[in-house]
Amino acid sequence: MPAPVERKALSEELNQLRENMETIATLSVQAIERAVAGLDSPDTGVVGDVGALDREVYGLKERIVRNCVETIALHAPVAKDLRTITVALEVTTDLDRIGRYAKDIAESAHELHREGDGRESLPKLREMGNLTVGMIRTAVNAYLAGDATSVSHIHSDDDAVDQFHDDLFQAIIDGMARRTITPRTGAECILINRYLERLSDHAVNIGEWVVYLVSGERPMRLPRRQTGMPGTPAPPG
Amino acid sequence: MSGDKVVVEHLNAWYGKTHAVQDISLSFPDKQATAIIGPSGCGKSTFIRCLNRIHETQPKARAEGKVLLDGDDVYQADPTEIRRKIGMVFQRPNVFPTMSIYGNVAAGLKLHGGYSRDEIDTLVIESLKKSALWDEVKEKLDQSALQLSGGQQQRLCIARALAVQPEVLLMDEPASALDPISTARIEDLIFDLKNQVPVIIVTHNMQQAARVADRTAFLYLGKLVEIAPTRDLFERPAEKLTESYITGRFG
Ligand SMILES: Nc1ncnc2c1ncn2[C@@H]1O[C@H](COP(=O)(O)OP(=O)(O)O)[C@@H](O)[C@H]1O
Ligand SMILES: [Mg+2]
Repeated sequence: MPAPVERKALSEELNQLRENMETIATLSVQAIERAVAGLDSPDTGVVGDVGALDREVYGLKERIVRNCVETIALHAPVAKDLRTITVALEVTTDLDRIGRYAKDIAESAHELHREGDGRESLPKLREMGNLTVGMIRTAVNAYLAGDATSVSHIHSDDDAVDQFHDDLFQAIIDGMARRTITPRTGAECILINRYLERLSDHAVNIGEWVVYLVSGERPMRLPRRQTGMPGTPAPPG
Repeated sequence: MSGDKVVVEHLNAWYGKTHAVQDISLSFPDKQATAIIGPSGCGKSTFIRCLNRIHETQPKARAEGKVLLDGDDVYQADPTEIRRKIGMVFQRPNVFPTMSIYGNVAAGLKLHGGYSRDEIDTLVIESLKKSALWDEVKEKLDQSALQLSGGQQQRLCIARALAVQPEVLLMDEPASALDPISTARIEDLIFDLKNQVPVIIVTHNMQQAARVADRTAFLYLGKLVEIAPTRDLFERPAEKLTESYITGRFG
């Protein structure tokens, strides 16, 4: 093999991208950790903190997208270089959604704590939140390490979160029917329940992009889960 | 019958002791453009020159192995006939300086003989149209070919190659001496031509391979490292060596 060429300009762009990805990943993981921790007890600081993190994530996302487009335009990357950039764009979108859901959860939790009822749902939501946060951490670490081995469980974790979601949804409806929780509380709980379920989908996405980054194999997207409410018939097919 | 227009089996080629092409087996389907890429000196030109038996015309050059055109062994056939069936376009447009534009395109037909004046007229016009040069030269067919720009000269050479109605078209870095607009014209031409004849194009411009070719073969030190659909080769090459080369990580 002849002497290696560094491609200094492209390498510099890719190093910068790597730094930005580390930062945006850290910020959005912090956002969701803080938001889920806020389910435990009233803490007026959470909404502001998570909102600030979400704004940072969004700003960084805009910068990453712009830089990636420039790198494609200037360097016409191929093979692993190309996958590094397309995967960064995809993962950035997922991380941005994670930041946004973190903010939504913080706000809903704040409302819940103000209402003061419906405490029975909180431990379950918290448990589900821990699972979701764990999935996100696993996927993000796998991405930053460029190692797909640790994401092999992510689909079964996602199934567990989906089960949580369906059970909890039913429990909240029942609580509302029995009037042990107010409609307002019930609505917030249903929202958090749904945000967590969606968050775990984003963790799965990131995990699948890591597989593609490492192997070049495009994710075999399963058909979207039938997310019809429990009790409604699944669409045909 | 594989359906492949050209099949190459265990091809080896030498210049004296230099073993320039080493045991390459490859096939070229109809209606496709195949790019051959690889660092300078890896045997790309030698490889395609073996396909139409131009290689053996050089001093001390020889080849072994099989090249089949529609199943028939090229090395058992008349070399002149093979060079008509498998046309070639070179890096530098080799226009004949003393000939007119018309004369340049007709030259191949006259060389091979057996065409009437009317047939020659028709084929010259058709070829100039196919090579997307007709509109630019139709008013000055009798003028010197030297007044044409580099890009026009290259399209003139393509017209000359097409005039003898080849069954395969080989191109050796056909755009490497051209400006970007002329290059884009040649690439558009390849896009149209491949529907008529399989096109095999040697290029050291990877983006060009990516733009024009359905499949891309990577050669290194006289050997075939990998051939794949172009889309796959540039997104996820199977071989580490291909990866280093196409990402520009070795010289
Ligand atoms: N006419 C020639 N005489 C001797 N050696 C040659 C000749 N042409 C090419 N070679 C050698 O054969 C090898 C392959 O050359 P070539 O097919 O021209 O490579 P490429 O087209 O990939 O640049 C190189 O080592 C080159 O030096
Ligand atoms: Mg060459």
